[in-house]
Amino acid sequence: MNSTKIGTFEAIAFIVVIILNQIVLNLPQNLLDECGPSTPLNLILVIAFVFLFLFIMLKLWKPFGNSDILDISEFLGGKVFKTIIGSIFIIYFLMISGTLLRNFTEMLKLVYLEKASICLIVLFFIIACAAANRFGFRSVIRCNLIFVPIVLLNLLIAFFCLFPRFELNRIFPIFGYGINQTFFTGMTNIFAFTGISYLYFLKPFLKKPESFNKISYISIGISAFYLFLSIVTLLFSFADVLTVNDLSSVYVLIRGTDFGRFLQRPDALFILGWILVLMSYISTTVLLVNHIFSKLAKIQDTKPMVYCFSTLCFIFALIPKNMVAIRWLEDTLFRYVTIILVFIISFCILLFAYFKHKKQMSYVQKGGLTSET
Amino acid sequence: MKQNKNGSVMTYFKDLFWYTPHKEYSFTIPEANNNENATYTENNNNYESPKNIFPKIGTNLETITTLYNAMINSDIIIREFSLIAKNKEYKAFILYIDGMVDTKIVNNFVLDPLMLRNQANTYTNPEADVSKEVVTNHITVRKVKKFDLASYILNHLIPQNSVKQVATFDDVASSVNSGNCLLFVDTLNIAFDIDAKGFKQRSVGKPENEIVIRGSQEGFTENIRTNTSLLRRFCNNEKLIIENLEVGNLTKTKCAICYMKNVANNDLIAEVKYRINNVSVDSIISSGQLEQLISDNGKFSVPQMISTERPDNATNFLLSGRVVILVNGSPYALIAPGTFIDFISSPEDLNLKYKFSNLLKLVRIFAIILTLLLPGFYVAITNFHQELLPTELLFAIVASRENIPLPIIFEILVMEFSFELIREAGIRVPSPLGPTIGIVGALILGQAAVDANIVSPILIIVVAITAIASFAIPDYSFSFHFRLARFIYIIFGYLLGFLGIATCLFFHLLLLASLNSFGYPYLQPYVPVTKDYNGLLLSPAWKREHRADFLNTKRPKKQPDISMKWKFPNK
Amino acid sequence: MKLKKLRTLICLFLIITTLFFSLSGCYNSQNIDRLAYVVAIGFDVGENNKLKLSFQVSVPSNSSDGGSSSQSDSSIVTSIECSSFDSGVNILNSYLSKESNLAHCKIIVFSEDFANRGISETLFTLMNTIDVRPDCNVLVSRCSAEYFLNNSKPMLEKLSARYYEIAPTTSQYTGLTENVTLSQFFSDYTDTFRSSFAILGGINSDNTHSANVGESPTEIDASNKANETLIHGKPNIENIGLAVFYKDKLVGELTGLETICHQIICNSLDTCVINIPSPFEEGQTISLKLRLVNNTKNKVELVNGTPYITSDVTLDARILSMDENSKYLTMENVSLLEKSANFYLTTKLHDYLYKVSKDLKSDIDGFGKYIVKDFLTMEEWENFNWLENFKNSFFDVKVETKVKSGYIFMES
Repeated sequence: MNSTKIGTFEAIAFIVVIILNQIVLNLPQNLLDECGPSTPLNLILVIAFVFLFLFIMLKLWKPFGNSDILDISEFLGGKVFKTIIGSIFIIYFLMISGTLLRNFTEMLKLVYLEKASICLIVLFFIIACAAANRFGFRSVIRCNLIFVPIVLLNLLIAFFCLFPRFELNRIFPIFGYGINQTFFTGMTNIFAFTGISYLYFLKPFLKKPESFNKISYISIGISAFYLFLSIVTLLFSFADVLTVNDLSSVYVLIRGTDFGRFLQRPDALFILGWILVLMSYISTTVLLVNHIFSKLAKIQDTKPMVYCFSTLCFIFALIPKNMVAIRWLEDTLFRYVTIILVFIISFCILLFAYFKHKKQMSYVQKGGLTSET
Repeated sequence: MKQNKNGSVMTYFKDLFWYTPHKEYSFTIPEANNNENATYTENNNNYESPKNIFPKIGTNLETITTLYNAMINSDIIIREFSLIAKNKEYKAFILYIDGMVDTKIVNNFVLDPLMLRNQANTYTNPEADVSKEVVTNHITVRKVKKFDLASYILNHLIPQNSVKQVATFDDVASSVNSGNCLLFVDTLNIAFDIDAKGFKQRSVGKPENEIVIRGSQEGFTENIRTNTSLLRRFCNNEKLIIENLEVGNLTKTKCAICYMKNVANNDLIAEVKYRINNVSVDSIISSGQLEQLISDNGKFSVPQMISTERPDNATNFLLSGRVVILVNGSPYALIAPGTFIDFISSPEDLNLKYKFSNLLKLVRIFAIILTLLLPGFYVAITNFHQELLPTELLFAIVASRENIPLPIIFEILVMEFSFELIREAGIRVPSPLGPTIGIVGALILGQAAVDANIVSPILIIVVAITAIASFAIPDYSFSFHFRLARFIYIIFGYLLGFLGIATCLFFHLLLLASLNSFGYPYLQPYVPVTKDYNGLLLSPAWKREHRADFLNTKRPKKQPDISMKWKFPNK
Repeated sequence: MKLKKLRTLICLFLIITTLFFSLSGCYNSQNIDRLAYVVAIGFDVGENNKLKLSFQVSVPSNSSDGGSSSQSDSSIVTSIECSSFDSGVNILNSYLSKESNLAHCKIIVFSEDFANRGISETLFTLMNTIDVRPDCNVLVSRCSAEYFLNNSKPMLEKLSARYYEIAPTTSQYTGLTENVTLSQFFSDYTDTFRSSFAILGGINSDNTHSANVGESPTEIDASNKANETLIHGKPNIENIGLAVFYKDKLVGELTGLETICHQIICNSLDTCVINIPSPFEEGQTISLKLRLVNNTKNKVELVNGTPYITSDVTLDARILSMDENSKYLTMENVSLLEKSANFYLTTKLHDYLYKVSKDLKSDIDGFGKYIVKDFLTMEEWENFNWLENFKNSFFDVKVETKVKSGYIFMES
C-alpha cells in the first residue's frame, strides 16, 4: 500500500535523472549543432515554451484528478486506445533508454575498457537494472534519490571549474545560423525535455497528488537550468564545440578543465558518478515500463516482468550497428518522435479528454442526476 | 504408475512454467503525521490523572495499576495483603520495583511486622485510647481518642528508619521510581514511603567495548533484573514499561522489552512484541542470536539493530522513542529500529559540544568511505585509470613496485587477508599479549614484506589506512560489514575498474535503500526524505526540540522552543 | 528443494564469474607496471617520410636502497620515422618492452620546420587520441624537437615530467611567454575570431648565441627569443616568446617584450619587469615592475570596411631601480617617469600590433571578438572573414602608467 507511493523529492529526482544522462552524453552537442552561437537564445525561448506547455497541460489535467495518461486515454477512447498509447510509450521509453545506454557504453569502451566487449558492458548495466527492479519499487526510487544530487553536484563542479575560461563574446553572432533557424526550425530543440513524458505517468505514484504541479515545475525547472548551464558552459569555453562533433561534449569539457595541481585529471571520478546515474536511469525507466505494462495487462505481481523488459532494453541497446546509427537515432529519429509523441499526441489526448469531460459535465448538469457515471 | 508418471511430468512442467506470486513479509510504519505544529507539554501523562490518593484502596489499586501499567510491566510488584492493626484487619498493598529494592528489607521489616500477628499489632490498650474521662452521675463518659490508623502504623508497625507519608500520586511515582517501597492501606488517603533501596551494585561493571571519555561508566550485566533496574534508574519515569517475554522452547530465556509508553510508536511496540513472540527456536543464549532472528533482512550483513552495553546509551534511545530489548544472560541490549545514522554516532556524541561531535561524525563517515573504497580504488586506478593519479605520485608508485613480483590484485588480497588474520589472532591470544601481537605482527610483517620486495610500501600504506579507518567506525558489526564488503569492491575494481566499482556501489546502496528496520527505512531521514530534525549532524543542545520525525512518536517534541528559560524568561 | 536452489545459485555464480573474467579482459588489463609513460612528444620533419616522432619516456626507478625512495630522472628519448602519429606510437610500442601510455604527456614539441608546413592533421590527431590530455603544453622549438627533448635536462627538479609541467608557469611572474595548453591551442585554431599561438622554446647553450644585441640598451634583456638570451650555464630549455600561427601554419615568432605586449592587450598579464629609458639620464634605464590595473579596453570599429582598433591600457608600476642620489619619488619626477613609460610602452605596443597585423597577419589577440557582435548571423560573419581582414586594421593605443611607489628605499 505504502510501498508504491513516492514523496516529493523522489519524484523530482525521478524526472531530473533523465536530463542528467542526456546532458552527459550528446544532448548539448545536438542542440548546439542546430543553432550554433544562438543556442542560449533559442533555449530560453524553448524553455519558455515548455513552461507554457506545462502550464496548459496541468490546467487540462485538473479534472482528471489522480489518473495518468493511460486512464485519460481510456476515458477518451476506450481500452484499445489505451493499449495502443501504452504500447507506444513502452517502446519509446525502451528505445530511448536503450540507445542512451549504448551510446554511453561506446564512450566507456573507448575511454577505459578497450578490451571488454560492448555486450558485456551493456550486460553489466542491464543486470544492475534487473536486480534493482527485483529489489522493488522503493529501493529503485530511493537509490535514484541518492545518486541524482551527487551527479547534480558533480556537473555543477565541472561547469564551475570552467568558469575562468568563459569568453562571453562567443554568444555572437547573436542569431547564429539565421533568425529562421533560431526561432522556428530550432524550436525542435524542445525534444530535450523528454522528462515531460515521465510526468504523464507520475501522478498516481505520488504520496501527495496535490503537489504534482509543484513537482512538475521544479523538476522541469532543474532540467532547464542544467541544460542551459551546460549549453552556456560549452559554448563559452571552447570554440571547437561548434566545429567538432565530440563523443560526449561534457566529457571533453572535463578533460580540458584545470582542476589544480594535485587532481589534474579527475575525469574518471566524474565518469564514476555518471555510471551510477545511468544505472539509476535505466532502472527507473524499466520500472516505469513495467508499471505501464502491468496497468495495460492488469498483472498483480509485476516483478517477473522485470527480466523481460530488462532484456528488451538490452536488445534495444544492441540494435544500432555503429556510432552513425546511434547518432542518427538520437539526433533525428528521437527528436521528431519525442515532439510528436510527447508534445503533440499526448497533448491532443489531454485536450480532447478535457473537452469530453466538459461536455459530460455540462450534460450531467443539464440532465440533473440522471447519468451518474 | 502411468498416471503417476504423468502426474510427475505435469508437476515438473508446472514447476517450470507455473507462476505463483511471490509473497514477502513486509511491514512498514505508517507515515508520520504532520508534526510540525506539535507543542511541547511538560505534563508527563496524556490524560488527566488523579492527583491525590483516595481513601478507598480499590481505587488506589486501580490508579496505580494504570499509572504503572502493572498488568504488562514485569518488574512492577504489587503485593496485596491484609494488615492487622489493633486486631483489626485492613486491606493493604505494597508497591515497589523489582531489582531496585532490597527484598530482605521488604520481607523482614515491612511485610513481617504488618502481616504476622505479633504483640505490636494485636496489642490493644484501652487506657491509652482514652483521651478524657469525665464522670458525671456515675456514668463514666470516656471520650475515646479517635483511632488514628496512620499514626498507629507509623508509630508501631513499621520498624524502619526512614518512613514518610505522601499524599499525591506524583510523590508516589517519584519515590517508587527511585527505588522505595510504598505502602497503601485501606481507609487512608496517604501512603507510606518506606526506604528500602537496595540496588544490585555488586555486578555492575565498566563497559568493556564501548569506551567513552565523558559519560557514565556503568555497563549492563548478565542479570536481566539488574539491567532493568539500571534502565529504571537512568530513566526514572513511571511511563517506562518493561515487559517480560520468554523465548526458546527449551531454555525459556527471559527477554525484556522496554519502551516509553508515552513516546514510542504503538505499531513499533506491537511489531517488536509480535516478532519476539513468534520466534520458535530451542534456545536463545545471547542477544546476538535474538538479533539475527528478529531483524528484517537476515541475509544482508549490515546490522539492523543497535546493540549497546551502556545503559545510558540505551536510555537515550528509549527516550527518543525506540524499543530496547534485553536478554537474560547477555550484557548487550538490542535497540530497534536501528538506522544508518545511528551506527555512525557514538554514545559520547550527546555529551560533547555539538561542534565536536559533528566533526567526529564527519570523520567517521570519511572512515567508512576509506574502509570501503580505498583498496578497491587503488586496484581500479592502477589497473584502469592511471591518468587519474598525479604524475609524480604515479611515478612514485611505479618506482616502488619495480622489484615486486606479484600483481597488484594478488598483493592487495594477501595483505588485506593477513591484516584480518592479525586482527582475529589478536582477539584469540591471551589478553596481556593481545594488543602486542597486533602491533608487532603488523609492523614486522609489513616491514619484512617490504624489505623482501614482496609488497610495495605504498600498498602497505593503503592497507594500513584502511585498517585504521575500519577501527574508527563506532559500531563493531557495522564496521565488520564494510570490511567484508571491501573485498567485493577489490574484486570488481580489478575486473572492470570504475565500472565495476560503480556497479558495486549501486548494488550496495540499493540494498541499503531497500532495507527496513522494523518498518523504518534504513537510510532515513535522507532517503526517503523526511523532515530532518536530527539527522546526521547534531544541532546544538538547546535546539533539539524534536524527536526524529521518521520515528513517528507520540510525543514529537522533546523540549519547548525555549529550553533555556533562564536566558529568555519573557518568551 | 533447498539443494536445488543451492545448485542453481552455484551454477549462476560460476557462469557469471567465468563470463566476467573471460570477457572483461582484466587478465590483460593495462596494469600500472606494464606501461611506459611518455612525458613529452616531439614532431620533426623526417628525411624521407613525412614525420619524425620523438618520444621521451620516463623510467621511474628506485635509485636509493634506503628508506627514502627518490626517483632519479632517467628518461630515454626515442625517435621514430613514420608516416603518421598513430603508426609511430605503434612502432614505439614494439620498440619498448611495455605499452606506451600518453596520458602523462606534459608537453608537445613541434619543430619550426614542421610547424611551417602546417600542423592541422597532427592537431586533430592529437585531440582525437584519448590518451593525450588536452592540458599538456604546446611548444614550438627553434631547434629540432629531437634535440630539444634530448637536451632538456632539468636542473632543479628530479623528474622531467614535473619540470615540463612547471616550466611554462614561469610566465606568471615573468610575462615572457604564456602557458598554452593543447585544448586552448585547438580552441583558438577552430575559432573564427582569433588565431592560435604556442610557446616558443629552444635549447640555450653557449654556441647558439648569435650575439643578437638590440640597438638600444633598453632592449637587451627582453627582446630576445628563446635560445638567444645570454645565459651561461648548462644547456637547458628556455621558453621565451610566442610562436604565432595563421590557420595551421607557423608564420612568425614574438620576442619576450612582444609577448608582454600581447599579454597587456589580452589582459593576461600578471606581473612583468621592463626597462624603460631613463628620462633623467641619457643612456640609462630604469626597471619597472608592471601590473595591469584595469582590464585593457579594446574597441574595434569598421571604418570604411577596415577595422580600426583602439586600446586603452592602464598599468601600475613600481620602481625597481635605485641608485645613489636618485630621487624618483617626487611629484615632478614621477610624472616625468610616467610620461617616459607611457611613451615607451605606446611605441612598443604599436610596433607589436603592426607587426602582428601587417607582417604576420594573424589575430592572436582575438580582436575579432569585439566586432563579432556587429554581425547578426553566422553567415554574415563568415562572409566578412575577419581573419583575412585583420591585416588591414590600423591601431590606436593609449597607455596610462601610474607609478605607485618604490620598494624598500623610497629615495636615496
